[in-house]
Amino acid sequence: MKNDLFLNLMEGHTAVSLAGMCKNAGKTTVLNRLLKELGDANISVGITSIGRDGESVDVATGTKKPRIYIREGTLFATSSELLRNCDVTGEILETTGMYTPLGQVVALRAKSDGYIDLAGPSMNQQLAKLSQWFLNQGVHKSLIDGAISRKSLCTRQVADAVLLCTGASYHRNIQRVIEDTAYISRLLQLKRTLKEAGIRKITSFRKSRKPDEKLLFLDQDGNFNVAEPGQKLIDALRETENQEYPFLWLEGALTDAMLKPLLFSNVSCKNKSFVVEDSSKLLLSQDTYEKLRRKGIQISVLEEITLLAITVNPFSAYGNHFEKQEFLERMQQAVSLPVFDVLEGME
Amino acid sequence: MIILTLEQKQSLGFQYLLDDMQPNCIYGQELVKNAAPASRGEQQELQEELKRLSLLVEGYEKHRSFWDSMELILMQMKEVRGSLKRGAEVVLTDLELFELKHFLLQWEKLQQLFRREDAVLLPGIAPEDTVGALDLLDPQGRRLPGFYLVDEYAEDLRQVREQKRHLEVVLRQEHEEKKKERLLRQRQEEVAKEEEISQRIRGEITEELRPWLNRIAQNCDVVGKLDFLIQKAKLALRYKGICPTLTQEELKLENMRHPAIEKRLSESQKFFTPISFQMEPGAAVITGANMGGKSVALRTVALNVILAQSGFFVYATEARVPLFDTICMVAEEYQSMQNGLSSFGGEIMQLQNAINAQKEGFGLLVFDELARGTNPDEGTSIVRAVVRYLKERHVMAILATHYDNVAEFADYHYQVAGLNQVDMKQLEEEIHSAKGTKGIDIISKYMNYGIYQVHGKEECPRDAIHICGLLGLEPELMELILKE
Repeated sequence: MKNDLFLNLMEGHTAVSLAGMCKNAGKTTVLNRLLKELGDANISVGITSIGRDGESVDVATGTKKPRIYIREGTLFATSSELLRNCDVTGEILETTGMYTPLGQVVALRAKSDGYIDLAGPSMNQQLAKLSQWFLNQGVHKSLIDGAISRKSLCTRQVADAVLLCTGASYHRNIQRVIEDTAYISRLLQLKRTLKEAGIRKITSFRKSRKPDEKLLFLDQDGNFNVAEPGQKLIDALRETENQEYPFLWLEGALTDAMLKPLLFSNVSCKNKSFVVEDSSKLLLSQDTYEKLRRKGIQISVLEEITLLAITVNPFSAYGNHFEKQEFLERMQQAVSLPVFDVLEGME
Repeated sequence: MIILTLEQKQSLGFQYLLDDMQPNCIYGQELVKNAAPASRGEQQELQEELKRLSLLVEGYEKHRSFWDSMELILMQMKEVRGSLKRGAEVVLTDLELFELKHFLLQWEKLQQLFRREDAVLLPGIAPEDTVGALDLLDPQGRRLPGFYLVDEYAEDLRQVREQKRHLEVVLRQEHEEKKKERLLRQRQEEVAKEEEISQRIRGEITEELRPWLNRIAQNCDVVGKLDFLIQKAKLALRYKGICPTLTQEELKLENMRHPAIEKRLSESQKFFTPISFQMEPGAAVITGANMGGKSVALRTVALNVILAQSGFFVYATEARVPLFDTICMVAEEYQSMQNGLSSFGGEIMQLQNAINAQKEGFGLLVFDELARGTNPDEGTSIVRAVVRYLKERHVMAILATHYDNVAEFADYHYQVAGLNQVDMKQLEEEIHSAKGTKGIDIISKYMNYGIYQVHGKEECPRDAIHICGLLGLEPELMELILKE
């Protein structure tokens, strides 16, 4: 019996999501490993996915993809049209009223071990509801097979911890794979720096704000100033340059386009901290992110998420495999997190 | 059933009431969406529906816990009619069998509810027993919500699953790749056998369910009716409705109200004046000044008649309502500018439709300021002619108009009270002390939107000119108006 890789890391986390940097990052292999470790430890699981991951054969690369294999007793939620692709004996427990292009999402309990094919809802709110439903049914952990998309990296609404899967299929240049993965892992590890009073202020602002009010200046004591509705980020910052608000809450996503004018300007942002809901709201290139930091801007989140570990897959679906020891070691040096090779110790 | 367009339902304020209902399931939602006046041929069903509704409303508070429990069950009732149709022809899938089981379970709960001591039995609503069908989907008799083909269905199913399970247990412990692959291949064979047997069993279950399908479909209708009835009762209680009495040819509505208009008025701290109206076949005319509530009175009458004919309670203190074969409403707003007709052209098209429709049977024809946009001479001629034409037909025609000299031909003449019972001195003083700007608000506060029946000829009230004066219109101009 090989040693457990993930079991201890997952302790204390009830909802864990898997995020992939690209296709063929080995996400399903990791998931199967996770399921096996949990199964052997008699920890019950509910599982669904964010939308649909794809076909059993990767259309883009022609490589055969592994399927998800679950234990008897596992709960799972998938779209009705995929039920025929599942070969577990499945007891239908509930129709959820959530719909995907592949039909209504149906919740089942596996009455045997076997393969399943997942297509869960793609809206965060629905995923959160489903995840909660699993836990209400008495399972210990809820797993979410995440999509391969920056935008839905995973929000705190859906999971409290995440595993990030990366691999040689991301880019032919190993340096690029490592840098980009390390960058994403930094975003996923952003901390909450605002304290109780400030958080309360943001919560009440979000409840009562007008659609156009997206910027809120505030301090740790909950003193605040709402920017003019629809005002551009740079104008709002310029106006409040002389005021002592160390935090700026940004409603919605933060994009390169919003920040470009700021980066080119002389508006002073020393010791300002931009706060967004969670790291999924940061649609920033690494370049922009670094420039922000150099300008003295900190970025923090309202909802922290725990990045448990990074897995690497040296095997590329496109043929340019990495040397596995080198890949593993360089990734380990780039981040201060556990890094595992998907194939190593995973049969 | 008489079809009303959504536009008509909205304009009448009928849609406001429908939107206020909260049906619990798809079956009830459909009935709410399609609510419409019954035709005269459906009088008996309508009578029965009103009787059920009365029973429900009268005992609602006393049997509150019974009805609340029923709503909780209805909320769980999901759409199965598609599966029922498919089941008659093809083998149902596990998901469809699950949904049927779910419906049948809820149905069983509903039946148990009807056996409770505080149950209210409604005439004409007969929940049909489907225990036999439920047993087919729950051979273990555990009455749990989940569904799959349990081992009890067939011995060969049990056996193949045992085989499969054995392989799966071995697989869990196996680490050697080659051996694992062989085990997985073996498992795959058992999976194929399991699926084959499962499909056979689904076929058998579907076959055995077939004799039940019609009965289940009827029960779907019962679910809808119950849901609809409960929502109608809650609506009746919320707005204090009463049960209408259906008559042959008598229309009498005392102290009517119109919930949508009432709501709108209450938002600006105003009150709705109840309206009483009665007539027998013929033509009735409602007149009144410009600021008056002719249109409100007209809509209130039409809404309450339509409610009664749709099997709803009406908002009045007394209601005697005949059944009509056709219901037509003619108003400028119904014609849409998109069809390219001028507003007058559109009205005339509607008028012709109404004339055609009343030839088909006893008709309710409602006209809101017919020919309002035309010059007064021609407009008066048109409206007078319509009154003269319709009073000779087998209809109840109600026309709201501000044209003079129309009422003399009508069988009934109602007049909006307006300012005619107001102490003008007091009103003038109040406007004066409020310094102009709020004049309109003060007038509308004094304005009595109620209607009264005029017997014989009565001088048309000069409210319009009164209002000009009260609002402080230029004195010189005022003088000229009075000389005219």
